[in-house]
Amino acid sequence: MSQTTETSASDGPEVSGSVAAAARGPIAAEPTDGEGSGRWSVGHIPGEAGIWIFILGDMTLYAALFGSFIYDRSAHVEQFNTSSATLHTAFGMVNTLLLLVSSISVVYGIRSVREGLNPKRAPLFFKLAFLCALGFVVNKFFEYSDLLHNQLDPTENTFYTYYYILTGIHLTHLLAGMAVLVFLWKVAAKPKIAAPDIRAMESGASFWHVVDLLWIVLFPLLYLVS
Amino acid sequence: MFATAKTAATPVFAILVIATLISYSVGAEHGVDNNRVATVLVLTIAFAKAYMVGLYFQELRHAPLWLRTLFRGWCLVGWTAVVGIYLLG
Repeated sequence: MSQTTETSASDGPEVSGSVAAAARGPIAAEPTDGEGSGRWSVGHIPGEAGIWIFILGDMTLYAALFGSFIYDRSAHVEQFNTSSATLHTAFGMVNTLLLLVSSISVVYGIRSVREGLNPKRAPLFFKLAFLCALGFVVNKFFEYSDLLHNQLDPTENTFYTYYYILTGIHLTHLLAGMAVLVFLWKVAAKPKIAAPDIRAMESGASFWHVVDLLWIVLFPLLYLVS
Repeated sequence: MFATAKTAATPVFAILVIATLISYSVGAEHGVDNNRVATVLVLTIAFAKAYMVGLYFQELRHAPLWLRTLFRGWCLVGWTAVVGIYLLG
């Protein structure tokens, strides 16, 4: 334990065995900026390799949907512009900011645990990320309610079909991500954190950032393209 | 808290927030008169933001070359396809 920080030893979870040894190593420490230096020359996969197969597959599916949306838009420009104008852009922007705050919170949470900077605070970062995600869901609820109140449902036209499919799939990802955030804060609150825990946390964090990343592209595509 | 925030991800977060506000200003508030220019700008900012999230939040800048290449490829192909189809449409 001597290699972990004093904070982790006294205030936060105990970072066990191999993690303590690797506290400044390839699993536990934040990679340095020198991509080609030392042991980082071979690189570090954030989390499990398997999660990246899922993430890249997911991103590819979304990329196809982005392309399909913009292609169909070219055939219904007037309809897409008119329909897009009925969306509340401010809702979309606030949701973007909420996801950005949640993402940086997760970055800080992972750093807190992995580097033993202030492990006791790590669960707080994940709770903040969860609250931001909850804010997104509430926002989306009001947005859907408003549209449906005005009879703008998925069958209204091609734009709204895309809108509900794209945001619906994203919302499903976000809800799954919220479960991941709960997992992250539970693990961060454990009295003893082992190397596999860190790797699992990195996998969860990578998934959460994808939720943010996809929304970053979805927001302008649906709300701002004209 | 300050030690935790001492990472390249912190200034990147600030850039992402500013970029979001710029996109909103350009796209929603019609900060640029030409719609096509505004849209290309907004989409380019979006994919640049996604790229930064991957590199700095997901820490892909330290990932093995194959993973970085796949991610960069997604960003490049995605941006080219979306902007290209938009301009050709």
